[in-house]
Amino acid sequence: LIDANCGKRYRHRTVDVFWTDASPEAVRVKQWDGDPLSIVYQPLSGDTHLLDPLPVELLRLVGAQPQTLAQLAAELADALCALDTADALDLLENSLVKLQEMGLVQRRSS
Amino acid sequence: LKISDLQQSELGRLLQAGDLLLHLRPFVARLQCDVPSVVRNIAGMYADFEILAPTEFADFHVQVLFEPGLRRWYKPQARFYFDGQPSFTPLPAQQGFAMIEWGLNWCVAAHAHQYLVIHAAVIEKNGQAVVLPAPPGSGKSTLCAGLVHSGWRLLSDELGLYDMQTGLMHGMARPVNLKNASIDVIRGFAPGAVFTPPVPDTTKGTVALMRPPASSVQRRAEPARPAWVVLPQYRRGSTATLQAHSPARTFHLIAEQSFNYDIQGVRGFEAVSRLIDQCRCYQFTYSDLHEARACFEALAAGTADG
Repeated sequence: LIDANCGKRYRHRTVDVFWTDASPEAVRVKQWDGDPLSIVYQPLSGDTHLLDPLPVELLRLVGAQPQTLAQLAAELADALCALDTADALDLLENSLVKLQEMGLVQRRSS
Repeated sequence: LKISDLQQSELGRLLQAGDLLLHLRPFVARLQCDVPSVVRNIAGMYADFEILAPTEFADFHVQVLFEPGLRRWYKPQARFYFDGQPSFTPLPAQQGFAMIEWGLNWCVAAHAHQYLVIHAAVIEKNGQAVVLPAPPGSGKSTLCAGLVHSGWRLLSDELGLYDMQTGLMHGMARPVNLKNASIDVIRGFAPGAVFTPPVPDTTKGTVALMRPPASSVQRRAEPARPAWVVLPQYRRGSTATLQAHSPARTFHLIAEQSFNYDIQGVRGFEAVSRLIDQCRCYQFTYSDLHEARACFEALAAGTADG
């Protein structure tokens, strides 16, 4: 997944950072058949969010166990195959940062 | 005993003394008011509502009273009081009845947390309710007023009360608040509709209230099961169109348009989830009430596409 060029960017920014869920109580996710959007409720803050499929999948993955960006990229390789590696990593990291701003995930040093 | 059973002089006496207990169902409001136009408007708008004896329990104690001093005579103003405490800024006294309506809305929205209180019109036919949540300016009240004069039962124009245990919608069948051009639209569509005199220059423009149909008032204690959530949008010149809408987006709008969603915590999340699970979700664009009536007939008959 990682070419030489973007591998540098990747190593530079995320190699030793794990992403994990931000609440001791699992977030609640509500989905409906045929609707790509999801509703996510964060019990710690009481906030409700309308999310696209990618961030919801990221929440599911980091909720199962802490993951690095590389691990997440590997898990989502099929879904991200249309993007080159740098763009895929940018997309994942941007999504994670937005989720972090929403209080749904957090960074944890290895 | 109903409001319409009272002579206006007796109604005025009860209001002046603070002894008018209006049975809104599920709430009781004790009203006191010394603004004469309010007496006429309560007589007209709440004609079919029962009143209770002054000794009964009231959930909300509401007053709209003239401001004292010179303001009693020069451009008179009145103020809304809740539980004896002044609430909100004074407004021109001619807005007294609208103040009671807006104030009662606030009383319910700020206190009735046994319900999820949704900023929505709710109408019912054949035991199935349509929830019409929408921000101001969407044409919600106009649509609601038109449909309740087309065979739909009014539960609410402004506050849908969602019972989080039973999954049923309640409403008080109170007067419908119409603004600006909507007043004449409904006059034209439903010539038999009864209105308060329009009051100009309110924060919402010119406002008039429409009396709820007597049949809706009589059945106001009867909740209804939500079957549809429809997001209305008036668009000038548009053809009436019902389109399926994302349940997740509808959830988000309902949460935004609920006065106490945040207070409810996870119960609110579960309540809105259940409401959306119960319903089919649509976006409805319209400009003509006759077309809207036909669309909603199709919805009730189960023949609406989209």
